[in-house]
Amino acid sequence: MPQSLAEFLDYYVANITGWNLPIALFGLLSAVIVILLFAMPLGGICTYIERKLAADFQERVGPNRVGPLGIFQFFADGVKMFLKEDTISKNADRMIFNLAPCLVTAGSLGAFAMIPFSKYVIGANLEIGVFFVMALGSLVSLGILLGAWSSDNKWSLLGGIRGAAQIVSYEIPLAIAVLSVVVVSGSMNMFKIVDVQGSGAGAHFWNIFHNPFVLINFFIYFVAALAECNRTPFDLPEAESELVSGFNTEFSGMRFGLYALAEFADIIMFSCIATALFLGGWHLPFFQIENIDLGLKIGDASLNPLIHTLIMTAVFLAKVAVLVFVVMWIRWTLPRLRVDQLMDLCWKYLIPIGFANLFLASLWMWIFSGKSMLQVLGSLLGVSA
Amino acid sequence: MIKTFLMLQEFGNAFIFVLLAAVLPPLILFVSKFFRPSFPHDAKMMTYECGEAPKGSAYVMFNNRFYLVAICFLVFDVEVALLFPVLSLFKSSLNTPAAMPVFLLSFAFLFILFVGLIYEWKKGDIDWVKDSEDRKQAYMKKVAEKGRLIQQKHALEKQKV
Repeated sequence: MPQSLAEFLDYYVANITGWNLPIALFGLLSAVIVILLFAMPLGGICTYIERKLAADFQERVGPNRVGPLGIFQFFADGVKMFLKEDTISKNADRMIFNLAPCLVTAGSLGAFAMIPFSKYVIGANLEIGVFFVMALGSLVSLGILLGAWSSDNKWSLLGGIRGAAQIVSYEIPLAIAVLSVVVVSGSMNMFKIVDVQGSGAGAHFWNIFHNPFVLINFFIYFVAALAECNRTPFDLPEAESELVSGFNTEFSGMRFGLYALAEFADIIMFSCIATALFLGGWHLPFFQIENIDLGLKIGDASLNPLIHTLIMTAVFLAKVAVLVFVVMWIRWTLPRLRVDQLMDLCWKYLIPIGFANLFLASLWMWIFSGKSMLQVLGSLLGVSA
Repeated sequence: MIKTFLMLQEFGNAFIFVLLAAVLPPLILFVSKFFRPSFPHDAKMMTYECGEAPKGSAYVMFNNRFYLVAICFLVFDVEVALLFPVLSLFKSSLNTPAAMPVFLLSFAFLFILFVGLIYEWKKGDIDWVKDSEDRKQAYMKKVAEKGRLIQQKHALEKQKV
């Protein structure tokens, strides 16, 4: 059975048409599908949803001109930015200025390679998947800092330095929260981490319910991820009420558009990781999607993987949508933190609590020899899980 | 042999993803070059500073604390990066004699770092406004001194009268 998206495409193309194409071609095709046809439009739609939700929260109407209910607003915005003049200030360091958006998109869009949307749709099924995602995620902070530094603008520089300090600090609680999941699932492979969260044999329900300490670490992950994406209440790098537009003040037209897109792609990416690591990925509780067998076939190829993929991706995206909604909800509810509060929250609360939880989660694993909360409860009550 | 090849292929896929994401901005900007207007002007190319002519360079001195945070981060991040591979083996070693060494080694390591964090905390290096309390006291002292001087002055004036 196919494992990654490239093999999945290869399976169907080879079985339906009989062509034997090089697998690298399918790798490129899967990258185009995931990034150009999935991540970027989703990021665009997110900008529309954000504006519409903001309008709802404030009892306004929101965008309603382009298309029914204004759903093509993001498309109109994209075309407008595409046609805008591209200005670079005279004093800017042109090379770094051009390089910065590349790093940001490489970090936020490139990381979609490691997200397991379904059992068969994962861009690259790496053994060190989680680690790779974290590494790519930190490219974004580099892009923000370089973009801010190269524009030779005081607002940008202030925003960029703040952003670097913030993202760099919050990477530690984020990594610790992810580490507790690695302890619980015993693997760094994103696919395997999701796979053991099912409700079948040898699997222990969702990681968030594995033990109480992982549950707490999920909230630590969520707070740290908010700070990583520069979202309110942690939007100090942008801080439009004090720093004009923060790190992207000098970026105009499509360059600004790419920064905005990357920000939303980042939110979706972190929500996807949270879904895969903590919320059971494509699994539904007490029901195994893999068991659906309609017995349909095209030529020699069974249609089952395709049907499973569609259902699993829908389940995965529904969970992601809930998380993205919460992120937007928080944005329109909480005010911005002060810099010293920001640093205190990270170093004095999240990191000690995260470390304690990591220790206790490992201790739980050792004492109950890897059993989850439900499994321990089951064996206490004499029910075989 | 086959397994190694498959693994390399997965890394190849990841590389293609990152490459595509990285060349996207120059690609889009190149395509939009044929559609967008371009009328450069001296005033337009000036650095934005709220509509005024920019004063001096932007490369000003900034707070030293950012540097401290970066150093703290470096230590913690290296440590977390080291813990990742060790703790990913923890579950598979649970019912073997290897469980204790893995657990003790990784958490002894973590404990030392935690002591470092507490030391930093007590020294006040992770407080963003470390000296605010001292400054406040100094200010209060100054105000009190000034008040005393004024009182003395008044007393002297009264004596004169």
